[in-house]
Amino acid sequence: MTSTGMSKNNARRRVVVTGMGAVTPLGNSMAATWNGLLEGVSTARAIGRFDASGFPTKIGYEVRAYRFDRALAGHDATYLNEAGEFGVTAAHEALRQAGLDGGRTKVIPERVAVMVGNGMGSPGLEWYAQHYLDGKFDGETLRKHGRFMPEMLATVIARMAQAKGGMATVHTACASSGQALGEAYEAVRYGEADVVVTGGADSMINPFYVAGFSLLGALSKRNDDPRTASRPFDKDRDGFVLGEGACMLVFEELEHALARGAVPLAEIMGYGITESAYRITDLHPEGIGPIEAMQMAVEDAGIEATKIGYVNAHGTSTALNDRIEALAIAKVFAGGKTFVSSTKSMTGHMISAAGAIELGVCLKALEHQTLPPTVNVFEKDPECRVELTPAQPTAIKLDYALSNSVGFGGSNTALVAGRLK
Amino acid sequence: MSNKISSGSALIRRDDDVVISAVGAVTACGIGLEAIWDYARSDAAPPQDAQSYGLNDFKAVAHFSDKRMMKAVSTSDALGLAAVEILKKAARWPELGVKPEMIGVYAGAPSASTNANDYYMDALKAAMHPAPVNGILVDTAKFGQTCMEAKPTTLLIGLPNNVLCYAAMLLDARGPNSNYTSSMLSGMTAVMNGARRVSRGQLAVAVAGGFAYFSATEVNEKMYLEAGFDAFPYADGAAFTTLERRAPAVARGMKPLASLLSFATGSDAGNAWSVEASGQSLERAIQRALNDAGLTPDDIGLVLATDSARRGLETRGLSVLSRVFANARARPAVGNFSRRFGDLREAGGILEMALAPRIMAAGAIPQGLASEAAMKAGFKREVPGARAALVMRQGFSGESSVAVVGRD
Repeated sequence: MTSTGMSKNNARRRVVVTGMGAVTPLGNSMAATWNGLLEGVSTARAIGRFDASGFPTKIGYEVRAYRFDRALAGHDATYLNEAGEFGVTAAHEALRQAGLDGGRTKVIPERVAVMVGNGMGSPGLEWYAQHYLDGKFDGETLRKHGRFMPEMLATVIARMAQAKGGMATVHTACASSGQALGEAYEAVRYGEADVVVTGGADSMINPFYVAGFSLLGALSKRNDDPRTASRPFDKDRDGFVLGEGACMLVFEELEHALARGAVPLAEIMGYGITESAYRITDLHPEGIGPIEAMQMAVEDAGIEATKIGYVNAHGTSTALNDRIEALAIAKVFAGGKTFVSSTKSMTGHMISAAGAIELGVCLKALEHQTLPPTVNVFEKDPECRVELTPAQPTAIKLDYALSNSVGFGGSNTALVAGRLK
Repeated sequence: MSNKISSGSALIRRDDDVVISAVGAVTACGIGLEAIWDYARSDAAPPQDAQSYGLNDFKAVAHFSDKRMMKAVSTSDALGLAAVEILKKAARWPELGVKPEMIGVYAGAPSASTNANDYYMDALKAAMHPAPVNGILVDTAKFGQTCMEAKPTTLLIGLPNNVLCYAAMLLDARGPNSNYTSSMLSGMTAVMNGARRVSRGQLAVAVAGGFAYFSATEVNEKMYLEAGFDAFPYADGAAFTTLERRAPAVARGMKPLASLLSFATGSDAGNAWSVEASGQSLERAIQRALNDAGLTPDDIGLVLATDSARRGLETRGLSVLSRVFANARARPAVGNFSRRFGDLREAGGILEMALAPRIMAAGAIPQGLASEAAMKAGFKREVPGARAALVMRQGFSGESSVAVVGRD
């Protein structure tokens, strides 16, 4: 892979993670999510929030036992949709861990930014029926419509963190939070910010999107056995299962973190981003796009590919993605002992939040020196020639991990994380 | 956040400066940069009603090199892609000679709008209960069944990153990329990050810009006009640029339109929909942008402010500028494109960056772009000998984006 100049910065600032938070179908914190992964739990079930009986796919990974603490967002709680609520909760956990909540430590506000991946955020059927079809759309409705503006989440997080350095919202479908994380990493690395609150949030378990993905044939129809429906790399996989939630992280320059007494959890070492420029949904059959993204990330990290001990794959459980992604991974990490898993078997596909939670899983794996288990692979697809993690959590000496995300529209991201040395 | 984009003194042009080498743009007031510039300088009255800032009648397909693409994209996306097609011609794309992995697309896009998707809305209408059932208006199960008769690509038509995807295919752009749904600052964010990539050597060419299509439905019009946002009407439009280093652009026969010297962003970090009146975050962003460009307020002869349709943003902006330039030898000229073109939302700020050098060269802001409020605040229209300009844009909740632009 020809160098793109990413690793030519001689005055290289190091980027560490000082806080993480999550709301997922496995639990309403990063710790609960990690524990759920170790237990190999799949919480998929029949969709409960709307009558899905008329849809070909009637299952999903819904966040449960969750109540949004409106006090976290104050007055702005009115302007958050479900994804926004998940995101704010996760951001609160991350900021608290980083010691950046409530002004506990002083940072220069203009050196703190927010960069998040957020979903499409459509209102639901009842909202449209009530406010749109009969033409009774007025100014008050407009303000309530602000709930569905993707940038509202970044706005609220900026207030929570007193981040005055600017904010951005990224949407590249399933690669959204992977890209947000990558841009946050580069902002810190190249000196544009000292701290970036970053991550992703999404909730597409909504009649419009269940219908839309069903029309594409992308969703599993294993309605009779929801817990095993999401089965990345399994020979009989038949599509993905929608999940929802959020994961937020605090990226920070290493010296800045140490100077204020923060505890780095891990280091973000490399970022790769490409565009397949092939088709809107399909991957290139030879893996062009994801291969280059992974190679770019590894090169940016300044390590050999064979040093990557674990890859958290995009692994959606669709026939095409898993086969081609496995081909790409096998090519990039040939000659090494790299374990692969997709945790979508346990979280579902969290779309714009996927990249963030899956990097979070990599960071937990590094922290605990433990590979998350592979779940719902009953017979591995012989065309997926990667070494999957065992069916139970496995202790391992792990120095580096990589998280992949591949989006509709052709954006491919890869992020390398390592134990801080 | 802030950073210097081009090297050396901002007032000396260097081969490795990042420049805007071409623009592809569509507005209700002109198509293509030259037509837009002619309109900006003309005495033609601006559109007199909100609908006239819309592009409902624009035939995007006339600009498409591959007509099949029209079947796969929304009206909104077609607008953005038409601008990219116009840009391709303006940038002499076949002569580029750059590897695909060194070309990247950065787009500022509107968020998805389910109501703009007829398939969904038709299914919704078909699924309405004749009368509310326990307060519920819609038979959701029936919606699911009815939707299954829709086009298989229904979901894809509404993807916010469609323009990124199809532009990348049109241009064979396989390098780093992104798509921003940050509302008012999306286009400037796209240009800023594309320029950063070129500045760092991660890309040879960034195709960066934004598009906005807000008048898709009468409801959208009602939303903003009746809600009391009476500053500037929302306008449809698209503007995409090629960003590259000066030397290869000139070698290809391009005449750089503008040098991008630095960028900075800021946020009030206050409540959503509220704007902190003093504008401190904007002021600090301007100061950081000037510092990173190696300039002082004395070096700025022109400010182009482009504000979203909210009361008070223009006032706030002028108050900030009065403080920034309080001790300058001379106050700069201050203009506002929104007065002439409407607020181009996700495409806002881009035409300003591309045309600032022409305004500087002309020596005065065209009458139609002048800001009465700025004149009253002591700013002027004349731009004598200016070599650098500020382009600044403010968003809904007090976020801001500032660019320092130089002319050759």
